[in-house]
Amino acid sequence: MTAAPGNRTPSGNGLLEIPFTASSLSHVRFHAGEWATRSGLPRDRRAEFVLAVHEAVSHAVRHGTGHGRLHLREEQGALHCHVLGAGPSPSRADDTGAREACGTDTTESSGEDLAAVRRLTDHLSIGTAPADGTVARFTFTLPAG
Amino acid sequence: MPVAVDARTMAVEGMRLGDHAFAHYADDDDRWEVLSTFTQIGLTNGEKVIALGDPAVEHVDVLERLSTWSPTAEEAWIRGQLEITSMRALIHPDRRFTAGRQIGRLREESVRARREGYAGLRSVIDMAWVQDLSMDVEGVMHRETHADALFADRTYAEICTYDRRRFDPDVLEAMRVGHPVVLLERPGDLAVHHSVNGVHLIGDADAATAAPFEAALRDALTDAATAGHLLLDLTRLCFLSVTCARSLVRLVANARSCRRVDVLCSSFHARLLDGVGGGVLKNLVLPHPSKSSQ
Repeated sequence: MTAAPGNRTPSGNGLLEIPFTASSLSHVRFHAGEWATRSGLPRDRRAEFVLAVHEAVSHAVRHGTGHGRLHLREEQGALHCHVLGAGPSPSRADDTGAREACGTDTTESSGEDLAAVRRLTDHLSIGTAPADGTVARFTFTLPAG
Repeated sequence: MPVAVDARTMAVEGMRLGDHAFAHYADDDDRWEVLSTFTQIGLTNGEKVIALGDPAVEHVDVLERLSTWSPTAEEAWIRGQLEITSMRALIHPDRRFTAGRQIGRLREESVRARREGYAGLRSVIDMAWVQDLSMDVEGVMHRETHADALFADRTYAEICTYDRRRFDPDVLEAMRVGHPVVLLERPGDLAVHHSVNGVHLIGDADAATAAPFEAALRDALTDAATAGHLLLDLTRLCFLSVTCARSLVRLVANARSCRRVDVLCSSFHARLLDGVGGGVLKNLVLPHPSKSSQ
């Protein structure tokens, strides 16, 4: 489902960029939730937003380099989330700590987190960016008004 | 010394106006996390926040530390929604702390905040002021246990944060017991409280806390095998990841001797547990959406 622009006045919420590692997931969730609150996302939808952000970021930590960046942007009546950093690891040895801190990477868990994101969001796409490797993008439509 | 977990323990994200909380730390970085989280939630809710910091820490450093979890702290400080001060300044021109003087001043600030159009007032108080003003512990305890009127109309909330390196364990325990709310040490922590009613999980269940989360569930299900029934209270759980929700459902599914597991949780967590397979388990009873806590 593609997000349709809502008929609403922008909240004025600015771009939020948060670097993340396995040890900063609660920090990322808190900032994402507060940012979504300032944008006017209703409470129940906000819980879904925070869960989607967490699962996408956790996926990047588990299956990517162990760190990355979260970009949040409000535009055209929707919240746009980009999770950058699921690219190839520069050094597998460097990743070990981060991966262990974020749980075991199993075949079962691989993909389930993004499947959860897909169910929660209005639109999810996975692409690549030259400097960041894999990028997960999803949107949450804001209510009209 | 670990701080006990009980029916009053909660994560800082769960605090509301009207709450009076005990917080604690033993690390100079960790000390700011609860305070800045509490500050940011207040700023987002349109409340005024007063930070009464450690007198040994410069106000500019307090602002910088609060900004770590509170990205709007500096803007709020410039427009006056966030004030950084000290207990010494709060009770000025008095030089000696009395519970009456301090409570009276906080009440004045609370009234002023609402007059200025804020939804309420939050204060964060680093209890390092106790040594700064040469206050005796009995006097502080008297204040902590006689401040109910400040919170009665639910327009004021307060965190009193104690450095475990400065206070004796007995004093800390007395202060903990003297507060209606006790906070987890850091955002993202998970705590477990076993009561006669069942097991209560408090805080965040994610990859960082998955091991104690699963261990607590496993132990509780084993202990409940004789009775055949377990109450699982997730109402103080702030965050539940998909992976931890799946773990919960798997553990309950495998606990064949536990004929019934009743879950108390938010409607969102009920939907999540239902969505990862909990809805089809015969021994797992999830709350009806209209009956679950928000």
